Amino acid sequence: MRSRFQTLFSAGVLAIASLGCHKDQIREYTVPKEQDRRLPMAHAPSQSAPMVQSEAPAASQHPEWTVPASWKELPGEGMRYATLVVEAQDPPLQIRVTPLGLNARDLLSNVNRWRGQIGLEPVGVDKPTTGLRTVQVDGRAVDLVDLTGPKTATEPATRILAAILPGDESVWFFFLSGPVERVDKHAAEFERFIHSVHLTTAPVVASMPADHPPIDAAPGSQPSTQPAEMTWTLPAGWHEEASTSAFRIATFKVAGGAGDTEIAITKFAGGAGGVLANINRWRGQIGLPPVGSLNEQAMQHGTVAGLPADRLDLSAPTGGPAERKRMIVVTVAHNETTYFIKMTGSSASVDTNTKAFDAFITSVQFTGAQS
Amino acid sequence: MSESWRETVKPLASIRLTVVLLALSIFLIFAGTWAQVDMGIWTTLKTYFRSYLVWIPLQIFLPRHWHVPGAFPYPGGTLLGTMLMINLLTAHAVRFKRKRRQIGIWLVHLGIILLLAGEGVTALFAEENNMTIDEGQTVNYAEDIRVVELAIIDKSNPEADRVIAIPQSMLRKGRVIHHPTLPFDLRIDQYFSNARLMEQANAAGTVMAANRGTAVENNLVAQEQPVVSGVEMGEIDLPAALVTPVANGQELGTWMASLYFSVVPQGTPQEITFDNKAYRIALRHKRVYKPYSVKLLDFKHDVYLGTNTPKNFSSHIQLVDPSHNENREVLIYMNNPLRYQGETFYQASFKEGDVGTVLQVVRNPGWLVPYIACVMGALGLLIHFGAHLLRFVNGRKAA
Repeated sequence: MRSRFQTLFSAGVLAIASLGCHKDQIREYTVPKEQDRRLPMAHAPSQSAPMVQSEAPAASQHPEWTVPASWKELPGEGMRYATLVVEAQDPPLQIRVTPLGLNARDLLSNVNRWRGQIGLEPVGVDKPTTGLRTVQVDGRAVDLVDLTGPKTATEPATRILAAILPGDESVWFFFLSGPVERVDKHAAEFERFIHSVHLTTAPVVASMPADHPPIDAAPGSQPSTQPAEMTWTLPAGWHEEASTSAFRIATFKVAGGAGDTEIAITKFAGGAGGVLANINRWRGQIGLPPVGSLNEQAMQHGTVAGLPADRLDLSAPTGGPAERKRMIVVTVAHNETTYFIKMTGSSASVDTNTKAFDAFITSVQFTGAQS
Repeated sequence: MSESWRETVKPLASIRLTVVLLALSIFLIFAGTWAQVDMGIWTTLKTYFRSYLVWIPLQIFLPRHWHVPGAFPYPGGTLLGTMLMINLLTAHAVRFKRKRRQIGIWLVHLGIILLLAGEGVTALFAEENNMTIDEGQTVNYAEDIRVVELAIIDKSNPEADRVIAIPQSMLRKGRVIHHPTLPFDLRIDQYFSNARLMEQANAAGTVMAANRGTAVENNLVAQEQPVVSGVEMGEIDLPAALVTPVANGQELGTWMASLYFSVVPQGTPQEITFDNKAYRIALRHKRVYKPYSVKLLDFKHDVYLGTNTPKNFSSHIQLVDPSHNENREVLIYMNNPLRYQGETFYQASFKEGDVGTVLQVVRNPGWLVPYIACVMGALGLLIHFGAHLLRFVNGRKAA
């Protein structure tokens, strides 16, 4: 007969060994009907950052506006489309521009949320409140909200100016909040700004910040519409085309004999999926086999706008100069965003444009400080 | 205990083995700590501490720009914990005597055994999920955002949906999944643990392309991406699977199921139609349905007056559980979770624009064990060293 210890010991070992034998099974169950959620991509929850990497089509309607000369426009981040710095002194007075789903339009819940933030009691549907107006902007009824909270022993009174602009795909919120003395000075300017807003479905090409210094144009170069985060000088003979993706911030074509050459600037959040994966993707695009490690791929290291940058030059393995594909990619990271500046075309046309491409790369500058 | 059995298990009771196992454990913790430079806490926990064997890359001990290849095998946390447990149990059976003066040692060891067993219970039974609720929405499930499932949903019943949820572990290329209540088999043609969706024209290399459903409608293919490390805040994998339903040897088409479509719905949800019946197909985070429901009445994101600095996040919810006659309003805020039916609801995050909340729902049946183990250990040490002290003092007096 085995001792009690032997039995306990065996049971213990079996129990411990079973820790690693946890097996998943197919589950079948019945659940009450659930409503479908249908949000366009622009309203993706912010905690799922990799979605930003996706090259899936994006909702395209977005606002355009005229920014007063003393304001500064900053690119958006996360869900925020843009930030307009009204007063730069610390803490800055800012207008936050955020698109939300159409179901976020409910005026009462928005007003009550803002009232709560500045220490005011909520209002009900049967209790009309002051500080609410509806104005026509770009043919749309825009709710303007103006709330001032009470002054406390330790904190100054806070004033909120907000505008809710209903779009076709999203509701656009323009939100300014700060100490009442500071906000008072900009109330009229805020309303004029709101009246300048219009929604468009044209490709996203944001205007330059109002206080951006003029860029010296190279002889023969053309002016270009540039995104808020980046500036450049366009070489002669290059012209800008409409970008087809929300991730592509600019596309250029080279006119004349080298018409098949395209230069594209794209941006991705974070590391854009890793260096090796991107290199292999580009290699695949021109018919080269993938490499197993970064050591197998020749790369030049330099700088773009003072930031470390990698330069990759790939040529297709076969074909004559006219049909053999060549690609030059410069990768640079700025403020947790990776930018790819890529020139593709036939070997002959890329050869011809390499100098212009290098000059273009040298001209690239980022606006806003590196965080 | 028979002598032969004692002789057999004696090597397992060796104090040398204890020392070796403890040394190995210390190094495993060291390696696991360095690994967290590149891996998130959950990946590290799974790879290093809840495994029998781990391949430790040499790179983790060196500056990352040195690019040092190679790795060596090493016993994982489960193996070391198991061996320590066996070592301790065997030592008590073979070496230790049940003497009154050793009661302190027994208590300390019992505390260690409880600690190891508690980790086993946590590894096996603890659940940590998220409940994402929009204002005004009622939700009766939580999601495990580290695991996905392929859900086939029969919506033909107007009252309720029938769901067949296939776990992530079964989503392997070439695998055919058969389920008795599904009228077709599902063949997994491809599975990417992380994928980027892109237009066909932009893709190169290995991609998965469907011929039915949302991906086709949007001209999208999926390209495999390295799995995310979990180090960056908010990073998640976006897996994608290429699924071909097969009925009576006939292929019904090939659909791409991507987590992306579940997180950001694109137009009409994709469906497989068979025998005039539609089955929705979705790759989504693993859902755990609850016997209760939670409605978000209000989410508050308070800021300090005059600034955008967060002061407090709170979720005003209504908890309804007919099985326990529960229907009450609760305010959950930071450091003030709701505890209900063995689960704890923490205020974890919120949706952009303050339109919804994210509650973390945690269930750990073994949560009390480490506390008991620590109390036992402390008591054991107190008794053991207290007795030594008493003997020492008495000895001095006698001298």
